[in-house]
Formats: sequence, C-alpha cells, structure tokens
Amino acid sequence: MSIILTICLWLLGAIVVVMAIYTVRHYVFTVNRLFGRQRHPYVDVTVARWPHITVVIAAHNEELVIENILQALLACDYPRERLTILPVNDRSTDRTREILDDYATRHPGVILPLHRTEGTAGKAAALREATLLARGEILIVFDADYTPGRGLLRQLVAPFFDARVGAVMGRVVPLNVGRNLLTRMLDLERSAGYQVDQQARMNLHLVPQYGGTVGGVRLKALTDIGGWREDTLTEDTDLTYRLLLCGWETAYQNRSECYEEVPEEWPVRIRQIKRWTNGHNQALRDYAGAVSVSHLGGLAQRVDALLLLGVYAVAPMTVIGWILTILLWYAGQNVTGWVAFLIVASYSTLGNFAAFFEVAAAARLDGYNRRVRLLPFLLAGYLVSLVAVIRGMASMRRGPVGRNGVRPLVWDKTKRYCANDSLEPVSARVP
Amino acid sequence: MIAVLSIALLALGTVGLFLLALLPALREHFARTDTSALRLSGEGADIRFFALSFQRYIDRQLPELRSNAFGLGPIVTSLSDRTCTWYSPPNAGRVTLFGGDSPPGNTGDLAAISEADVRVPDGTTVARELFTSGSFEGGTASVYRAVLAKGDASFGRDSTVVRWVDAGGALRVGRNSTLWGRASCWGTMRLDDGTRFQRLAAPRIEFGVGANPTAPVAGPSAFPAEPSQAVAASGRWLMDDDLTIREDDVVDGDIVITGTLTIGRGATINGSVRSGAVIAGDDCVFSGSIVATERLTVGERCRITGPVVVEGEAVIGAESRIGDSGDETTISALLVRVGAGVVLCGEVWARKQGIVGAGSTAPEPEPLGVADERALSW
Repeated sequence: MSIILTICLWLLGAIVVVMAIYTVRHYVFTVNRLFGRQRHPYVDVTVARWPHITVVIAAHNEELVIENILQALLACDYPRERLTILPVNDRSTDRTREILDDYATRHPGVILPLHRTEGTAGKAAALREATLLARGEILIVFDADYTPGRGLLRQLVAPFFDARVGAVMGRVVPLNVGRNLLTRMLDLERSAGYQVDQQARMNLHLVPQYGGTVGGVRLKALTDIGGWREDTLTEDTDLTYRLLLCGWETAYQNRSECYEEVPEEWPVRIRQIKRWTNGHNQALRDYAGAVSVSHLGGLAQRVDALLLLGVYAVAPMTVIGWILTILLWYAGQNVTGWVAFLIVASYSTLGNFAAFFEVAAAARLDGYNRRVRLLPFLLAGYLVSLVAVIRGMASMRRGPVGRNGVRPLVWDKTKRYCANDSLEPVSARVP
Repeated sequence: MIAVLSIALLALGTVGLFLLALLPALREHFARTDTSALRLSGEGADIRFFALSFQRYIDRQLPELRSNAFGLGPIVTSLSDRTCTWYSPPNAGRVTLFGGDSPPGNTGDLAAISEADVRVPDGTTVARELFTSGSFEGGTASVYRAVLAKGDASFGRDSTVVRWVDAGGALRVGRNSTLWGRASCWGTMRLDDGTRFQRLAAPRIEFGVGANPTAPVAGPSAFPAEPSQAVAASGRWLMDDDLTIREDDVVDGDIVITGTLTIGRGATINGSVRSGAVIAGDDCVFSGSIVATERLTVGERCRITGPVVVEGEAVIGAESRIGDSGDETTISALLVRVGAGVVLCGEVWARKQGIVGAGSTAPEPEPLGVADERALSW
C-alpha cells in the first residue's frame, strides 16, 4: 500500500512540476507580447523578385465556399504570371467539380484543378498528390472556406526570402464571430493563440507552429523531409516538427491575416478538438524523442518544441492531478503543499490553448474593449474541451486500426456555414 | 434548523459571488455590443496609402475651391468641412506658398492646395498638408507636415517632413534634411548627404549624390576557413557557428549559419544568406537575399539582388547597388546607414531611422511622429 501511495505522490509531484512549467510558459509569452521586443522581420518586404508559387486548396464537397476563395485569390496582387492555383477536388459529390472546371476554363494557365477519384482520402494525401503537380518554389495552402485578402500572398511568400525558413504561418481570424456564444468564445481563443502564443514564439526564436492553412511550405524543404505524410491526422503539426528536425524554421506572420469560419455548433467543435487532439498526440509520440536529443536549435527551442507537443495533455493531466490529490488526502497523506501548487497551476493554465490572461492580453492587443467581458464563459468552453480531449485520446486508443497500425484516414472536415454576410463580397474586389 | 439555514445561506452566497463575476459577461452576452470580426490591416502597408487618401480628399474639394476662386491669384477660403485652405488656381503661374493679393497673417491652420507650381520660401513652417498638381520647390530649413506633388518635388537643405511626402515625378532632398514617415516618388529619388529617413520607395533611389565616397568598413583581412566547414544539405550550407569565406571565392547555394558570416573582398554568393551577423568586404556579389538577425555590414561597390532583412543595423558601403531597374527589391532594418553613391531600386524601411553618409556616426533614434508610432507598434 505504501508503495502505491509513494508512486501516487511522485506522480502528483511530476504533474505539478509539468503544470508549473506550462504556467511559467504562459506568463513568459504574455509578458513578452505585452512588453517585449516584437519581431516582424519580413513584413516590410513588399517589393522583390517574387518567386513562382502554387496555391493549393484542398476541397471535399465545398460547393458553398470554393467560388469565394477562387475569386479572392484571383483578386490578389501577386504577379499573375508567377501564380498557379491548384484546387484539389477530392471525391466531391456536390458541385465542386463543376465550379472548378468552370473557373479553369475562364482562367486557363492560372487555375489548374486536380480531381482525385482514387488513392487515400484526406487532406494530407490530397496535398501529397498536389505537390507533384506544383509549379515554382513555394506551395501556399488554404482551406476552401478561407478568404485571403489582396496582399496576403505576397505577405506569406516574403519570409521565404530567408534561406532558413521552410514554412510560413499566417494569422487566422474568425469571420462569423457574432453568430452565438460559441463563435464569440472561439474568436477570443483564436486571438490569444495567434496574437499572443504564436507571436511570442516568433519573438523569442522558439517554434511557431505551421497550422496547415493560411501558410506555405518551401518545396525544397518539403522534398528534404520526404514530403507530406499520409498517415497523419494533423499534417501541419507533423510538418512543423519534421522541418525543425531537418534544420528548417517555421516563421509566423502576425500581420498576414485571413478570415475563416469557426464552428457554430458544439458537436462540430467537439469533433474538431478530438481530431486535433489525436493528430497532436500522434506527433507527440513520433517526435518527442527526436526533439529531445536533437542538436538543432538552442535549448529553449527544444523545450518549447516539447511543450508544444504536450499541449493537449495538459487538461487530462489537470484532472489526473486533482483525482490523485483527493485520493491521497483520503489516504491520510499531507498533500497541502502540492494542492497549493496545483491550484495556482490549474488556474494559470485554464484555457484550451491559451490561459485566460493570454486571452485578455490578446483582446487588448486587438482592441477588443467589450468582448473581453466574455472571459468567464471560457471556463465552460474549457470544460467541454476537456471532455473532448479525453474522449479524443480514448478513441485514439480503441479506434479501428488499418494498415501499418494506423487508423484509416478519411475526410474529417469542419462544417461550413457560409458566413461572409458581414463583409464586402469578395467578387466586388476583383479588378 | 440553524445549521440548515447556515448551509443554505453559504450556498446562496457562494452562488451569488460566482454570478457576480459573471455579470459583465452576461451583460455582454445579451447586449452583444462587440460582435464584429476583427478588421484586417488591409492596404495600410502601401507606402502611398496616406498620399492616395489625401489625393481622394483633394479630388472631392477641388470643385468647391475652383468655384470660390474669383481672380487669377491665390485665395484663402474655408471649405464646407471647415478646413481653412490657401488655394492657388491653375492659371496663377508659379506661386509662392501663402503669397497672393492679401497674404494670410496666420498660416498655422491653413492647408495648402495649389493647381500651379509652388515655391516655398526659406524657413517656412507648413503645419497642414500641402498639395500641388504642379511641381514643388521647397526652401531651406522649412518644416512640412505632409506634401503631395503631382510633378517633381525638391526640398532645400535642412528641411523636415513630419509625416509623408509623395511626388509624381522626381524627388530631391537637400543635405541634412529629415524625412519622418514615408517618402515616395515615381521618378528618381535623390537624397543628399546627411539626410535622415525612415521609409523610402522609388524606382531608383540615389544616396549621397555629389558626396565623396568614404570607406565605411574595412574588409576582413584574413579568411582561414571555407564553406567546407558547413554541412551541405538541400542546396544549403548549414552550420551552427561562425563562417568565413575567402577573398574572391564563389559559393553556390544558400548559406545558413547562426553565427557571424565574414565574406572576403570580391567573393560571390550565388544564393541567399541567413546569418546572425554578416560582414562583407568590398566588391562582393550576392545574387539572392540577405537575412541577418543581428547586423549587416557590406563594403564598397557590392551588388545585392534580393531583399535585405536585418533585425539590427545595416551598413551599406559606398557605391553599392541594391536591386535593379525592373528588378526592384527591399531593404528592411532597424537602423540603416547608406554610403555615398549607393543606388537602390525599390524600397527602404528603416524602422527607427536611416541616414545617408557612411562616414557619419550611427543614427540616434529620435521621437517619432504619430504615423510612425502606429507603424512600429503592430
């Protein structure tokens, strides 16, 4: 019995230590973003000999939104002769194919749709096939429900003039903010995730994360790491770490903003979190060891990379910590000190991806004066996410296993709402 | 009974306290006072953003101004938006700013709009925006808030522009002038020695015209090592240390190092450079970009084709050439020091300050204008 108690005590201690590290990390990011030196090294590069790029749009049943992004891309100020738009229609059963073919006819040489009817389903597989057809040096990736602004392509390409940069990530901004409480909370969370977390990592030369959309990859770097992996649920996280391990950096461009739709319904949100959890934990399993022993980058970069990998484990760890505390207390152990630490750490890591004070800092930086009052509701959102993360982890363990011991991959995309009613129609901007 | 009441009161108190914290949240949730999507940055980064906005304003005001002008000479009038304006009609010929039949006594609040060429006397302060559809000739030691000239523009020595200047033709800036904010033109921009600046854009920018070229940096004298120190991967020389390249060496591929890159006189880099610091001797050629997280110093007569991004100070040696006609590029650095005879095609962004004249001391950051503070606090 005493051995079990000792193990529980050590486990609790370990959890408290890890959570304390995450707490410090959140505070460092917040303080840096509010008071530190801000790095936007590539934002001034507005004139250059722009390389040829290929913009890939992974699309599966996107008839509601695909036209919008094509119009927006055609309205971009990137030199037309150096731009190829490559929408990948992956087994759509709606009008996606028809719309793409229509645009390809009207814009020959610029829009070159790829229609996939066989092979592995999913975004990673679609990207892998599209990469084989890509022209130029840079691959820019968008999801079909995004609305890039006129200057976004240049902004996303500018960091690639840095020979160390293998991938670039822009900032995702929710468009359908005012729909309901969920969208408003997600807007605050996204704001913290990008405005504070990603930018602080950029400031501190740590590991900004490639997010899979509103971003780009250098084709040479992609070749260097062996291309897209099809057997991953989150090809973005996977790519970030493989690039890091091969000596490439991911750059974050906070001013390269692009609208997206966030989930308007809790079930959709829960599915999204479960998918992210599984993909992230897959990356944790695959790369934690390699990152730990890697000689690339400094110690701070390696520590940050590990902490980023474990970010989805924080919430379950908090629950386990509290369960252990209660068990040990009933077993007559004096855990008062640990409890004090656990309270502070739980409070300071309260949030899905960013702590509540990071959300508040981001709201201030974005000039949100009144919506920040919704902050207490994030507790409810956190509890829902906590359940979703735990369920995601459980489903990963018991899910059907396919070839190579990996679950068969299918299109698991977020539901579209077509919420661009609050903005000027994109078609109005096409010259 | 008392115990039950106490527990009930405690529970109610706890719930009350919890709800108290939620009151502002509940209020915002139901009142929905802040529900719009974040406004994206849009076109603000365009160097001509303010000039184009001002041009639109002018286009709206011109009909009213023309209807107010009775004679051939300049007038002072109040527009419907209550802006007091000095206006010179197109047939006035070449006019002196704030001149006319009845020159205004107090010019402090006057905007200046001219459809004729404008000359500004020495020592004039123009506190509001100035527009001319002709050419602009500024006297010495004058201060301007913002200037938009559709033709050529020239500023006398010791002039200061507080916010922005845009010229449809060439732009000439006299010695020891200061251009805060943005300066752009569609023709050739010439900045004389000692001019301080922040953001410049033109098809061709000539620095330190007429000044004697001075050697800002001594090129490295010894180069014991070569790129074979580094690991070649994916067309990159990758190294977690300092690296030196010998005189007249030719390196094919990108160089990516974390330390200091020292490049000997006459070396050629057929690729891009990413380093902590870069120190290059005279006559070096860079066919790609240069990114330095600390500082950059290039010697005389160097040629750089791609963008230059430096997070600290960038020193460009005399008679160097950056970008080319039809192949424009960008320099971005915290501090920029440019030698005499340097020619750049494209844009320069000195986030704190730049100065023409390689022999000068490093520029000291000075207080910025409102527009510049906005540009720096992203």
